[in-house]
Parts: sequence; structure tokens; C-alpha cells
Amino acid sequence: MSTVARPRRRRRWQAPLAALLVLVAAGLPISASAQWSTSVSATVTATAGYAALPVNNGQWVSCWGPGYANGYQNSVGPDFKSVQYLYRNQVAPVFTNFQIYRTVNGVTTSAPWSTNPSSVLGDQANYTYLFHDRGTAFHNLPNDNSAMQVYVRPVYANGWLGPKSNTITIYPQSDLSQTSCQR
Amino acid sequence: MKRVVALTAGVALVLLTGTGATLALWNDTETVEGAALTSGTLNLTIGGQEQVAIGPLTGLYPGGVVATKITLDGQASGNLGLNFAASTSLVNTSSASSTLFGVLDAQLYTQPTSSGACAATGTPGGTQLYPTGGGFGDLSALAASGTLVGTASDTATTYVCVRFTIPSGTAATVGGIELSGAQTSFTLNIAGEGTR
Repeated sequence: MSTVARPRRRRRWQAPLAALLVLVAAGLPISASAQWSTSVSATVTATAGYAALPVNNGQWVSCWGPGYANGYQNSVGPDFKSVQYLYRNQVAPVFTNFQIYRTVNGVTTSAPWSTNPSSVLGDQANYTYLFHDRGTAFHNLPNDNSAMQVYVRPVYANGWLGPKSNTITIYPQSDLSQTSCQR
Repeated sequence: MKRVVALTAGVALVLLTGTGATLALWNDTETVEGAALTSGTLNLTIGGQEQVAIGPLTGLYPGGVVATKITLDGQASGNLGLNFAASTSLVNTSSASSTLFGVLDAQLYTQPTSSGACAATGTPGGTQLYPTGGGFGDLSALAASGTLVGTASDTATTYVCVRFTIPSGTAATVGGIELSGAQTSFTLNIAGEGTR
């Protein structure tokens, strides 16, 4: 039995296909580095700010008064003596002052606790911000005896503020000696 | 003639496939003057992952330093080496995020072992790649490069210590943004490139 080799026939579509593939391939950017590269990435989130003071688990403001202080019979206010002088002055990062915040009827205002750190901030016995009497000034109690929320933030170099303390609430009474404070 | 056509089509297909596939992997075998080039693999991971999340990092304030360390694994077989280049790009483009990103400084060290020092205090162990002159440099301009896998090796691991800080003296408010409490999100990109 003999085998007769049949002549191979070129299909008409082969040449155009080859030409097309060559054209397409030539048109693609072939970067030498592309086949030699790989990459990975790490998404980093960072938050700026000082850590909360760890004193009393962040609950470092308590109530004081009403009592006599600074010439006023019925002074009352946040007491933050638990923030020890040692901590403030010698444990980095050192803060330079406190900023006191008060909120009355939804309006919050603030003021520095002391502008004289050398004499006052150095004495932990003074670590009490006292509100007294009635009036519109920051250190006064509300005229209408509205409840007043108070919290404190340490002030670091260049005016950076640390996380706020816990909040206390002062409830003035018509007789200021009956004013109460709740932690 | 048919062989020429088939060969041409084959070459074109190889070119097309090569440019369209995942570029980290290449496989090829050719014989050149009696020397065989075997298949090779180029791979780069951070702790075995292609993408990782770090943070949120806290404790960033003027003069405060925060350190983090990642494990960079490289694989470059088939007579390949692997170089890497690190850079950063902002992810969260809000005003607060971009402001903080612009304020942050960074430094990057590579360490040969996992036990290299990488803490908020002290000097990290290893080789400082960014900035090359020592100290801290702008995070947004971070650019560091090095060799991870030599051509004589198939795999290698390096430990990358990255430390961040806010320069001392930075004002509490920058461009109307109070920095205390501001958060930023950015990507630390590490690109690997095969070498011979």
C-alpha cells in the first residue's frame, strides 16, 4: 500500500492573520522593564496629637467646692490636682498650661488656666480652676443658673492641645452656696 | 512559506502574551550558544502580602517619633536579581489629610535581621536609605532604593524600619487646619525591578 503525499495547501486567511498579528504586536508598547517589575504597597494611616494623660484613666478632673477661694465665698470648679506636678513637669512630653472649656446652653468658650506658668503652674496646689459669682465673664457662673459643663485640655509647646479630660457639670443655684457639681 | 507565516504568527503571539500578562512573572526557555536560560520568577511581598495596612499610628506631635517595621520578602530566581525603590503617595486627599501629609517627616532604614532596633527613641539599626544625609526628610518626597536579592540568590528578606515625626516647632495650626486630631492616609509604595 503506497502513500501519496498530498500537497499542502496554503489557506488564504493565514497570511493576513500573521500580518495583522505582527502589526498589532508592533503597535503595543513593549517595555523592557515591564516584564521585570513587581510592586507591593502598605497603606498607612496616622493621626497627629498627643496621647491622653493616663492619670486616673483620663478621668483627672474632679469637683471642688463650693467654698471660699480667691476672695469669693462660693467658688466652685474643676479640680485637676490629680495631674501631678511631677507628671506635668518631668514626664515628657511636658505641657505648659491648661485650657479650660465651659459649655453653657450649647455654647462652648475657653480660656487659659494661667498665663504665668513660672509661678502658678509650678504649684500643684493651684491646680483648680474656680468659677464664682454670676456674670458674663468666663470665670463667672451663668446668670440664669443654667448647668455648665467643664473640661480641661493640656497645652503643649506652640499651642498644641492635648486630648480633653473628663467633663464635670456644675449646677448653680439661686443660693450659690447650694451649687452642686457632678463628675 | 507556511513555516514563515506560522513562525511570524507565533512570534507575534508571544509578544502579545508577554505584554498582556501579569508582569511579575516570566517564563521562557531559549538556547543561546549552548547555555540554557531556565524559567524565573520575580516576586515581592510585605510579610507575605501584596498589600498591607499599617496603623492608625498615634503619638505624632512636634518632636515625637513613631516607628513601624515591615518585612520585605523578595524572590528572583532564574539568574535574576531584584532591586527595590520606595516612595509615598497620598490616599486621603482631604484638607486635613493632605496638610498633615505635607507636615510629616520620615526616615527609612533597611535591616538584615528582625531584631534590628526600630523604636521611637534611639537610632535604628541597619542602613539609612532615606534621607541619605541622615535625620528626617519630607514624607511626601520619600525616595529610597536598594538591592533586595542579588543575582546569585533566589530569595532574600530585608526588614524596613520607617519612622515618622512632626518637626519640632510646628505650629498647632497650618493653613487653617488644626493638626491635633488630624488624620492622614497615604501609601508606602515599594516597586521591585529585576536585574541581571
